[in-house]
Amino acid sequence: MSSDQELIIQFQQSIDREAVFTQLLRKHQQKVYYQIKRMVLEHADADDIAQLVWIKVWNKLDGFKMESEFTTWIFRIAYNETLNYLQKQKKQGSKLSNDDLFIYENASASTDEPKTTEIQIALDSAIKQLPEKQRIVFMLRYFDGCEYEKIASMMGTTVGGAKANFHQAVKKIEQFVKKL
Amino acid sequence: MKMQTEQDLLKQDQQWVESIIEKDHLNRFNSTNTDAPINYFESFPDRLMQRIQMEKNNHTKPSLFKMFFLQPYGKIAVAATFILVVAGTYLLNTANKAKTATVSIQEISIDEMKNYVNNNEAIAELDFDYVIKKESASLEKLGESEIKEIQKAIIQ
Repeated sequence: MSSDQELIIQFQQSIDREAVFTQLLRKHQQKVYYQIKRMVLEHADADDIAQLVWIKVWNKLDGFKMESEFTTWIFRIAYNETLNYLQKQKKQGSKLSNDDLFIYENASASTDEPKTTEIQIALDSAIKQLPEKQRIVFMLRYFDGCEYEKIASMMGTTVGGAKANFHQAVKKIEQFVKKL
Repeated sequence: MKMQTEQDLLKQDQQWVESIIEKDHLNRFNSTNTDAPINYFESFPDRLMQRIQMEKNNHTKPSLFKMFFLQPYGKIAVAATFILVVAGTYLLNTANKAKTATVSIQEISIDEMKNYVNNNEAIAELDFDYVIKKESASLEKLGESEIKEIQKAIIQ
């Protein structure tokens, strides 16, 4: 399989652009989708944003200068598109928190494995209730094992900022879980 | 050396999180949030390429207005119209000025003056008679006090 760099050069030289782009897409679509899904949590939203992200990549790939890794660049686009999307959703009303409340109340009422379910639901709610930046940094750091430097360049922030976001996220999750 | 430090830091962070919440719960959370509908990734590239193609087509069909202004002849037509309007306005203004232009008496030759007087003698006399009649008519309307004031002014 060709490297990202080779594929990008082929795309920029207009050599069978669609085929080259599809190769790039197939190679990275899952990572991009999951990154978005962790931020928005709903498949329909993640699908919408993923399409917007890849359309942007198609439009901007000609100007990509390979100063950073392709994955860093595309994750940054995904991050920005997701933030825009979430901000638009916020303006339309906070649908997410009501859903969480409903899930949490139902789960608390169930009798099967009460403690495990409760902790699981609490963890879900805790992570969902984190501010977007903290949630994203937490996901990237804990689940993806990303270095702070990479997180910082993906999110357009500093290493210190990324570290602070991670620590605040963990502290908030801890407080949430301690309430149980 | 740097990589080792980074790895250590990452491990520390992950262990910190796992000291708060069990790893099983975290993994379960991760697995529920990193799933996608069946065949989603197989169909995604085709759907996306169709959408890109649609957007491309939309971009290649600009409106008539844009088409006109983006074409070279459209720009030339706009420029030509502008030049015509400016030039037309300028010509009209200069023509009007020429019509109303005053000529100083020194610029008129004596022959021209003589010709004018000869040709317009009758009209000039008519005009003169009209002025005399008009002035005497207005003098008749004057009151005694006004006539006296005029006389005083003449004497002074």
